[in-house]
Amino acid sequence: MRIDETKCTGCLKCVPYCPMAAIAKVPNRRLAAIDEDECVECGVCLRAEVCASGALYQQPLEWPRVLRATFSDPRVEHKDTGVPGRGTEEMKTNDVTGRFGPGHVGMAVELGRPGTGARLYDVEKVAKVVASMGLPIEPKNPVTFLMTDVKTGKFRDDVLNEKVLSAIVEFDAELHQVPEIVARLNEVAKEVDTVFSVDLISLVDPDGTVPVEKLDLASLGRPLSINGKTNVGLGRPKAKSLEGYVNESH
Amino acid sequence: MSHTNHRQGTRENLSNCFVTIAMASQGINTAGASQKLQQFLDIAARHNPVNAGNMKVGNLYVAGSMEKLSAGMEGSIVQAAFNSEDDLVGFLTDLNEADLGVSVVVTGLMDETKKCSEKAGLHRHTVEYSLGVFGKTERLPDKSIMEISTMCGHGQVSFNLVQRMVKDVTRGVLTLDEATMTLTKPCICGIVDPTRVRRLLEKMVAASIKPALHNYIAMDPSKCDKCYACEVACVEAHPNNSSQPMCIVDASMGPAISLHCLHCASAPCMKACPTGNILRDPEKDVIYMRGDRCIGCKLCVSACPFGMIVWDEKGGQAHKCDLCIDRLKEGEVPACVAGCPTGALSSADNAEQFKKRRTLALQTTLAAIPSAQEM
Repeated sequence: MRIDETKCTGCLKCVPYCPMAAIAKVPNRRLAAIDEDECVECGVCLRAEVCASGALYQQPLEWPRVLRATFSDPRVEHKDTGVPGRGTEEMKTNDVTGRFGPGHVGMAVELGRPGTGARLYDVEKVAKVVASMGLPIEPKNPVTFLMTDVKTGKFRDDVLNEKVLSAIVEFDAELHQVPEIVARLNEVAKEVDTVFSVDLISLVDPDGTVPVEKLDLASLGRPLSINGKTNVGLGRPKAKSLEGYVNESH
Repeated sequence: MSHTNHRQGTRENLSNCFVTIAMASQGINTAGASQKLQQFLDIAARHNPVNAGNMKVGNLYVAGSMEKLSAGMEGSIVQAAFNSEDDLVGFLTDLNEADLGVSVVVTGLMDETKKCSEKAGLHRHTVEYSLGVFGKTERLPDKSIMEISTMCGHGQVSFNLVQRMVKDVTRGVLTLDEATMTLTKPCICGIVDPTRVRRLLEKMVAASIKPALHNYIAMDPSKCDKCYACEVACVEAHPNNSSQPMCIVDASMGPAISLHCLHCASAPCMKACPTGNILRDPEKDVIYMRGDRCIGCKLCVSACPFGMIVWDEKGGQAHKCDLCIDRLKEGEVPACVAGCPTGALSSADNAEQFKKRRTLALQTTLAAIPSAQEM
């Protein structure tokens, strides 16, 4: 996003809207400017419609900068996955895809969340840790398309310095691996210059119990949240791989 | 995507706050999904949604109505938010019956969503928990700001905007409702519950009025009847002080003023006392004397810039106003204030005093500007 210097009146109304705090007053001038290195092209300032003089404008985005918009503006569809938002269906369609099966968990590391943003080199650091543990990285996730080698988690060099509002490293694991993964994430957390939020997905057993609730993650400082998501199994057709496993009584 | 998975909050403020989402799976059941997503929104509309959204259009408040969310359903994801268990159960029951065939996910407190799913006759298929925030958490703002900001998992509601809204409401630039809308609109998906935003914001506004003044007795000389009832009440309330009041009515300079200890932030009397007889109550921020350690040196009397330490010749001890701290802790006003028959004395908490003074300043300023009165 850019600000047309000739139109900006310096009212600064756009400033608080920026999730990256990348808009600021220019010292000693009646003018606001966007720090292009910090801007993630999310479009929040423009959509807020607070600029009365029409000074905010979206410049054409070229590779690799265009990645900022695809990872930061929820309206932009990821062309690789066809899904808007952060570009992955994860557990939201698990009743149909059967992506996460019995004895397995889905995990996702959401870099830059909450509200901080992440450079892709930090996303790569986490991807490399996940790959080094031999965990299968979700192929239908836009982050995976940035990798030159899914086995090592290495990203293309030309994208590394791009900054995005959030990017998700998504992978499958076996239930018993979770504590070790969380411990490794606690380690890599010290090496990134941002924050990340971690998801833990689990199929509900036919008797209604949730396998991950039996894990001791509190001792690693990472207890399960009180808020969470529940797929209530209304999708059709049902995933073939889960036939006979899930409760299908309705 | 998990844009609702990392909502922060307490059990109390996340209770009865639900988000539902419907989507088709790429390459599996996308055929005819547009109509099904539309039906999802139509059914939601019957159950008092507090917000709703279509990823391709925006949220309910940007679109203006549920009907306007319908434009462009192709390849989209739709959302609806509710703020009561009854509405959620009603919605899920209808969805179960409609059997649309698109996947539906409910977010909320895990035990509440479990209960509601069961009531609607649904079995939980897959669940997702958050393990919290890792990394440079020192870069994050206060928890209360994140409780609002994380309601939009896509990070479209900036931390700074939340802070700005608190300031705008505190200063009367925006009403609580206007600020709530400002924070609800940037979330395209329509998953921000404005009723929760409003509640959280209201709390933050109340907490943001920082006490610039410590506890003290305020005095309106125009109401003073010079009756000394405050002094009498003080003596009654402090039977060990040899009948000496610690508030003093003085009219020698013209208007009658009831003088009180100011309970200084950096109290010279407390610093001067060699025996630790003068203390500050951490809860009420009141300077008081414990009594039993006074050796009668009178250093505190000399140290007080306002002459508010009372020397008790008979008892050989110094006394000072303790703002009737025992009464304060019981939620009562000091004895002098309670004893004043004309309302010349008042004791309010810090925030109230601060507000009162601001209001007075505003009134005075407005009265001085003729054009302002026509606005």
